[in-house]
Amino acid sequence: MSLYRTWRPRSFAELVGQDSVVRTLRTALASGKIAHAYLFSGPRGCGKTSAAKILARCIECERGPTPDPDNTCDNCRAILAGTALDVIEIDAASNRGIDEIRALRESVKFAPASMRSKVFIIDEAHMLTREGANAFLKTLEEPPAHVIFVLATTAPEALPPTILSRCQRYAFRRIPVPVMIERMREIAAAEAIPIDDAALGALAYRADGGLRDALTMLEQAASFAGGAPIDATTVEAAFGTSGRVYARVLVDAVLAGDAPTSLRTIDEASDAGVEMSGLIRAAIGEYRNLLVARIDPDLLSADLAAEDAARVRDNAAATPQPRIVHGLRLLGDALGAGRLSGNPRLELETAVLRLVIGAEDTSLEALATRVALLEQGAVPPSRAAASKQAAPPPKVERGATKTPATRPSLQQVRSLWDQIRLRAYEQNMPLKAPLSRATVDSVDDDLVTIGFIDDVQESLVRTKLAAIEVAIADVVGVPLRVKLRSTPVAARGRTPGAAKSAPDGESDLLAYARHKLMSASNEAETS
Amino acid sequence: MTSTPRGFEFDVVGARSALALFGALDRARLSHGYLFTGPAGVGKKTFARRLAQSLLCETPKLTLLGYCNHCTGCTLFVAGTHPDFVASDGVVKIGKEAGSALHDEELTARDLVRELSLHGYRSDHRVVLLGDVEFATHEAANALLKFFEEPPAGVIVILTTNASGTLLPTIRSRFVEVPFGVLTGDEVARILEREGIPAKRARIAADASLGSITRAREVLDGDETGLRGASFAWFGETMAGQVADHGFLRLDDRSLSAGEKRALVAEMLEVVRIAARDWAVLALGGKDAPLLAPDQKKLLASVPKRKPEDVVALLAAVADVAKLSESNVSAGLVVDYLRMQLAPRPKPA
Repeated sequence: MSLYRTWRPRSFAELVGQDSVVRTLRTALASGKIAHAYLFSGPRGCGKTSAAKILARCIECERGPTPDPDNTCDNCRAILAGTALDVIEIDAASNRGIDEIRALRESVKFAPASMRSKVFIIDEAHMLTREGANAFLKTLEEPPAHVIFVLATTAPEALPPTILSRCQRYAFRRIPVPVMIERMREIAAAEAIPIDDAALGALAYRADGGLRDALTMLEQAASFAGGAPIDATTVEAAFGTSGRVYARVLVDAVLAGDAPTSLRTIDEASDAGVEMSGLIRAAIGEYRNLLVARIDPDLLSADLAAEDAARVRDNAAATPQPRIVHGLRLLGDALGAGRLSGNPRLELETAVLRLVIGAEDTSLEALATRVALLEQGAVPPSRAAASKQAAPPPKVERGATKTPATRPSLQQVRSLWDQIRLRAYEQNMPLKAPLSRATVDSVDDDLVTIGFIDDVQESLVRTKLAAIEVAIADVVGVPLRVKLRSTPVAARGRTPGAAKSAPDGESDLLAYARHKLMSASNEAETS
Repeated sequence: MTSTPRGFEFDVVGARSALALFGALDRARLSHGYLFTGPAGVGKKTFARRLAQSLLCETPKLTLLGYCNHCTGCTLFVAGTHPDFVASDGVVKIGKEAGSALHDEELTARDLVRELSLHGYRSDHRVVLLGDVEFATHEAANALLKFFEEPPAGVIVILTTNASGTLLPTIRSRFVEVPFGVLTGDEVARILEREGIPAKRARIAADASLGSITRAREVLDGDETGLRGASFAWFGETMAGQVADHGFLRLDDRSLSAGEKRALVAEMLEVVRIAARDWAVLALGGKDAPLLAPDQKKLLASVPKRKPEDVVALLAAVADVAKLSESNVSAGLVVDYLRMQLAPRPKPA
């Protein structure tokens, strides 16, 4: 039998890592206050079902209700053996429909056969159908005095709020690494499994907060070692080098701008049988740690061992925040795309190369990242002390731009162009098509030149100049004259609007990026 | 390779960690559930079947792995009629409330739970193998949770998947995960040769297979129809700025349905993605960077170099085309669009 089944906690004292839940339940039981419905929620392997079984014994124990069931009386023994008539464990995932709930309602009516009350443990409660859950509501609200429901679920948000509000809720947490190590050490000692601390640590990290995962792996490592002492090497041999190790090397290489090493790491991971979407997820985890380290380095200590945390902090200090966010976004996209295309390795490699080479990446996010980097660089260092704002106010905030005092510059008009366009459509809908592809070419004193891709587009607008001028006056706050010009396609760059009067360097790139970002958000709004 | 006692065999290639793991186990310490993970075509299902046969083999033996191929258990297993072996591939649905157990053509989650609550017919063990497991719905996956947590005594469940990330974490935590690494080139070549493929072709396919038999077979198929080579050539010419002929996609062939054409283009797109990837790796990753198509290295090396940032932009663009091809876009359009993305940009005037 699996370790996690043999070592299911038999009392609240053995239920580790859930101190607040245990304390509340024990206090309530000690004072004889028993609710009629409990809801235990939390991630896999954190003790929900075990707690429900313990609670059932607390209630039914011959010396109970008590916070410490004796586990020796007839009632406790029957419950432990799974033969008690009055403790009914229901798998809500396979009995989820309205008919099963009706049957449950029928059986609720009958008095307990031999024990104090009837305890219904409804496991995987999130899988109840909508109808099933609703049919259950009245029973759950006011069950007969001898009935107690314990619902357990990994996804409480999937339950209707009407169920949630009828239960006492207990949120179980992921089990912290140190607690998990301690518990595994106890069990290993009792089972005579020789294992050292490094191996326990490695298992605990892999288990990711689930004690069941940890015990499954402990058992496996033990049979793999065949009686020999288990150390970190054994763990690695039994489960393969985890994605985390490769992800760490990969992210380091990416941050160092080392394309060959990044590619080789991915190849090695693939050779070792590391699943590629797992590797992407692990890399996302690494980036997430970087971000956390930049925001509050102390938060890391909950998830990482001390030396790992120090390494992440060093890396984070050397990496600007927008770059981390950019990395998170690209890797997140790769994860999604990999699921669709079935070739996550290609997606990961593409994302990694984009991150390494990224400088001239013209996608929206890449530009946004560069804008953010430039803005950060441009802000004087005393900013943090001087103002509470997280970021310097962008120059193009909507509504705040009504009245620039002086004549607007080309950049300002460009950055407002989308708002101007929208305003012009409001006055004259047929302007929409031609203007959507037009660009602001130049601003000379009070003369704005608008460029079109061909004569046809220009001629469509020619008769409606007034509408555009009104729109400009509204948005920019200064009346300007408008001149139209058509430019053949061939003479323009691939990126209309940006390329034309390029050579003022980064500031123009900034304006262009803003322009693209604005138009993206406008499209999102109008569509 | 672990040794099997004389008179027994256990015939698998690769699967080093699984052999080490199960080689050290005995029946008493077997867990109730194993999840075999690893890329497609590295022998997960083969190993699972051999393991199942070992468990159901009735000749007494000291090791866990190994089967005699003579006893009734083995004979039934080989004939595919062993009553205590349940195997199913692919999608698992939740099933009707009142289904008729395992005799229906498709295996459902509810059938499994019902059928396996019975004791084995011939053996103490009942082995369930769900290959490339994928749950049709969230409901189907959840319906098996309680069963997977504490299955009846004697039941051993083996799942195989090449995308363990798609399984529910609650399912994964109930199984012992056994990672399968890729095969070495020699191992792939050996398997292919055993299937009667000439040594030279087996070698090419093995090199391009990246350790996956499935991929090696795809390479052989693509070679046979000429699609793979033609796609590589098309990629090379297009990248060099020539108008490459895409006649091999048979877009004008009226005897093909739109769906068949799209399937061809999808296949070609897959090859082009690999070509683009390898080309980028050659450009950015240095000389000894790992290629997915080492047999095409010469062609890829002759493709004109571009600036690193253009290389990356091209990769992203090809990925976009791949995304596009999954929506309902005509095959011809996808090819034209791909061509525009690959062709070198004219110098600005």
